[in-house]
Parts: sequence; C-alpha cells; structure tokens
Amino acid sequence: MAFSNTQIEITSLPTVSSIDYKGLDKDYLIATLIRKLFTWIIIGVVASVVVQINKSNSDFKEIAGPYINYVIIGLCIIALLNFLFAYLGFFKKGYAVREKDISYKTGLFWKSKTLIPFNRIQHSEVKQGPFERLFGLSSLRVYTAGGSASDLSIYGLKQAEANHLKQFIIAKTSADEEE
Amino acid sequence: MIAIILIIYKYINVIIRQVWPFLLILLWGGGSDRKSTIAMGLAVLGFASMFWAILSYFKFYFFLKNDELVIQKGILKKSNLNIPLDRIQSVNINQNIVHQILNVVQLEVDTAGTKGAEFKFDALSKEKAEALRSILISKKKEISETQVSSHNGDELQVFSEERKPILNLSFAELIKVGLSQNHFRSVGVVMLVFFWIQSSVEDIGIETDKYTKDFFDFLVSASFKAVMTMIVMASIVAVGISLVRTILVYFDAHLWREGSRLKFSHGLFNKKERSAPYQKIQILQWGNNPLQKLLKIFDVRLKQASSSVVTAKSSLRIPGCTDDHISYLKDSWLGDKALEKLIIHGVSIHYFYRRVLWRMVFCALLFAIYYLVGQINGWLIFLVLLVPYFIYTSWLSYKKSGFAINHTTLYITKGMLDDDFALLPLAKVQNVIITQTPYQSRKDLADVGVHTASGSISIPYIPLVLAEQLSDYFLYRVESSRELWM
Repeated sequence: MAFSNTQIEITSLPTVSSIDYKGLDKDYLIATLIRKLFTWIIIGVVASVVVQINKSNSDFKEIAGPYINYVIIGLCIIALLNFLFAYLGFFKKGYAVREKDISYKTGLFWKSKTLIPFNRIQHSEVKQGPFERLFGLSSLRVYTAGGSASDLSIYGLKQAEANHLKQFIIAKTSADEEE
Repeated sequence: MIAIILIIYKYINVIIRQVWPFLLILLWGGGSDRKSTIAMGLAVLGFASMFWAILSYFKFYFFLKNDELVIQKGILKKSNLNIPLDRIQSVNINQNIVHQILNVVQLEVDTAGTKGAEFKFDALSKEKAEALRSILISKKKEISETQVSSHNGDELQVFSEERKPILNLSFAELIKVGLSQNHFRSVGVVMLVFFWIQSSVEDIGIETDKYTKDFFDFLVSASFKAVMTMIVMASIVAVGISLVRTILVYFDAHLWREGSRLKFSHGLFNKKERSAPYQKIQILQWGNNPLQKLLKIFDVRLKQASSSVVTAKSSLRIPGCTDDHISYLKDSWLGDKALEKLIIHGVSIHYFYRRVLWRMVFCALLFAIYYLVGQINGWLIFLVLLVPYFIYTSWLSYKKSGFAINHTTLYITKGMLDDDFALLPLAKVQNVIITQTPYQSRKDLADVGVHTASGSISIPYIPLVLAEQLSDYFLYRVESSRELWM
C-alpha cells in the first residue's frame, strides 16, 4: 500500500516498531499468580459449599448429579488455562519511556500498544492494591482527556520506580507548559 | 416570584415522576386506613421539601468578583463556590415550555472541572441571562487572550463578532429531515417506552405476563401475511414518531457563526441554544442514510470537548445540512489548506472476510434455533434473506471503509447502507492505540485507534507496517507542535 503523502520522510521519524519495551518486575508475576490462586480458592470454596448444602436435596441430585464431575473438570481446566495465560501474558507486557511519549504494550492473543505523548497528559496517579502492597509494587496510571478507555496503566512497577516515573512525567509535562 | 412558581412546578414534576406508582395505588388500591396514612405522609413530605426548596432559593446568590463567578448557597450547610471565568467552557440558554409561559430562561454554565461541574440558573429574565452570558464570555475571552498573547501575540485570530447565519431550517426542510430519519431508532424508542410502562405497571402489581405471552403466541402462529401487515403498521407508526420527534426537537433550527464560535438554536417547546467554539471542536462528522442520500441532506455532528466524560450533550447534532453547509463548516473550522491532498486509502479485504464470517456464525445460530424451536410459518424466508443481506452489507462496509491523511488532518470514511465521514485535525489527538486480534496477527494487520477529548476514530484492518507508520506520524505531529487541542 502506497503511503507517501508528506514532505517529511516518514522513514526518518522515530518508529513505534523499534521501541525497546522494558518488561515488568518478576515480583508482579508472582503477585498476579497469587491473586489468581486466591480468586480460584474462593470460587472452589463457594462451589463446594453449594454442593454440600444441596447434597441431601433429591431434586438437585437428579438434575445436577450426572454433570457435577464435568463441571468440576471444566472449572479446573478454565483455572489452569487462566494461570497459563497469565504466566505467558506476563512476558508480553512492557512499558517504554521515550523523550516525548510513554507507551505500554500488552496482550498474548489480543495485542495492543498504547502511546501517549507527554504534552497530552492531564495527570498521573500511583496506585497500590493489597496484593501489590505485599510485594512492594505499585501501578502507574496516566490520564489524558481522551476518556477512560484510552488511559494507560502500567502495572508491576517497584514502588520507588513508580514514584520516580511519576516525577519524571510531572517534570516533562510542566516543562512543556513553560516552554 | 416567577422563580418560586418555577420551583413549585419543578418539585411537583419531580415528585409526580418519582411516586406515580404510589399515587396509582392510592387512586385504585382497596380503601383502607393505611391508605390515608400514606397519603398524609406523602403530602407532608412533599410540602416539606417544597418549603425547603423555596427557602434555599432565598439563600442562593451569585455574583461576579475578580474574574470569578461566585455562587453562595445553602441553608444549614453553607457553601461558597468560586469558578474562575477562564474555566468556564460554555454558557447555554435553555427554555422549556414552562419557561416559555413565564417568559424566563435557564442559564447553564459548564466548567472544565470534574464530574457534575455545571450550574443551572433557573428563572432568569431573558435580557438578564443574555447580559450575564455575554459578560461571562467576554471576560473569559479577555483573560484567555492576555494569556495567549503573552505566548505569541501574532497567532491570535481576530474574528468579527457579528452574526453570520449558516443554516435556517424551514418547515418544509424540517419535514424532509423528519421523514428521512433512521426509523429503526423510533421503533427502539417505542419498545423502550413499552418496556418502561410494563415494568412500572408491574411494580404496582398488575400482571402483564399474560398479554406479553399472547403477543408472542401470536407472533409464533402468525402467517406470513399477518407478519407483513404488522411490519407495515409498525413502519407507519415509526415514521410518525420520527416526524413528531424531529419537529419537537428541531423546530425553528438556526445555525450561525458568531466570531470564533458556532451557535445552534432549536426546539418547539423546549428551546435550546448551544454553542460550539471552533477551538473546542475535536471531530467533525457527517453522514447520511439512503433516504437522506435521495434528498441530498446530511446529519452533521460537531463533537466538542466537554467537562469530564464524552456525553451526547457535548456533541451538537445538526440535521438537514447540504454539501454547501458542510464545506462551509469544514473551511471555517480548519481552513481549506487542511483539506488538500486527501487521497483515500482502502482497508484490507480481510476486513470483509472477518465481518462475513462472524455474521454467518450468527446466521447459523439463528438457523439452529429455528430448527430446534420448530419450524414456524413465514419466518424461514427472513432467515434465508438475512444471509445475502449480511454479505452485501459487509461488502459495502469494506468498500466504504477508508482513510486519508495529509500534513494536518485525518479523514475517515465508513458506512454500510449509510455513508459516514469524519474529519480530525491531528493536533487534537490525545493518544494512539495499535491493536491486533489473533487473526490480524496472523495476517500482519492491525487497527489504529485515535482518541480525542470527544470520542475516538478507528482505522480498521490495515497492514501493521502502515499502522505503525501512521502512529509514528500522529505522534510526531502532536509532539513536535505546540498547537493546543483546546
């Protein structure tokens, strides 16, 4: 497909494809897996409680009895896939800071790359969930006027790194305004 | 005094809207002692809140002080709000039917703050509202101009403040607009109203299931002819509703330019006047459906940045525009230079394949349901017709999807049976997202999403290399220029 519409040599521009993404902290992988384990344990407990309560109910036996093993196997498979994809997906996540923009990529199957120029950033925020706190991790969220669907969140940063990055963004955006 | 009448009216309105099922019970329900107690309770509550509302009216002040709009309100909990004038995004004048009877207007001030940061001043006389608005706007302009000129004085554009009419919708044109609406939307509105009434009626305990069931039984057993008759009747109702709706909303519509902003006033009972400063418009969209194509009219949407989230409110919809109106809007917004050399590139044929594939899966599901439920008279023909319809519309949508780009502007075309176009100055871009589905990854294709402060635009199914080049260029434009997006 021909695309030569501009006087600027498009090939001389810094390219998105050559961005070197920095992977997330290994601790974040462990934190994610533990969080998932927690969720699945809760699901398992709830499911077995439901089964135990209804065990004596004859209607329940009749309707659900033959399928119950399949349901358990199905849930186990989903859980395993969930862990597997979380593990594989981790290595696809990464962020990069360039001179004038910040970007984050994610996605094992459905891939996406978000790019935000510093001079469009409204504000940024460092967040910490309970599991992240255990590992001293934080996430950084960058807001633009483009609406929440297009904001950028970088997960799995060491707390110091997140704060440092936030300071860097503040410096960049305010330097931009002063120019 | 008028203000108090308005407050009373508003309160009665709100109360009736909220408690009408109870009122129905009171009127219908079996007489008992409890009934009168409930009625008493409601009445006391109603009067108390009305009294409170009137009291707060007397404690509501607003005034201008040092480039700030100050609002003082509150009876027990006093609050003092200061809004810097340069934060005010837009000032709109509205007039509903009660306002019209009482000959007053409502002034709506929208700020760039966070959620819910807008203020409504009810019951101002028209002169007062207009005076206040012009003060607010001229002050705001003064402030922002001094700020801008401290940056670079010569970039300041000077527009004459006189009123230049662009579009005046006559009654005949209004009828044209009404007849060429998307009538499916009217059907949707009818259904919504129907479900709302049904759920409200059910709330007060009347069984509606029986009627609904009868209706579905009818649908299932109906002959082809009966179904056709129903469709024809529904279409007539839908056209009628669209016509009435259009006349109510767009009666006496005027679009004009005042200096560096566009203004649009419209409405029969609910008169509205809204403005869109050129600087705030992010995307210009226009399009027409097959009916509108015949009549050579377009619906235009001016999408402008608003306080927090993108709402339908901040996008001005201007119906009944012709080619001339659109080219005026384009030129006056971007200048004719921005529209040079826009050569349209198509998207990949895989876009068509994928659309067809998903729709065929959907058709297969419908067929499966059809055979599982049992063959019903006259419905198979619709299902069979659905297949070529989907293929045809997918083809159209592939053919019509395209994009063009020059130094400053991105231009998008899309549509199925209708045509849609959008113009986006690259300086308005907030961020860029490249996405790939597994299928696209295999074919080295990607979507590029461009987000602005008022909605986003997506270029589907283009080669990944091109997607990256486009992103590079968008980012280069945004990062290398000091042009503001608002």
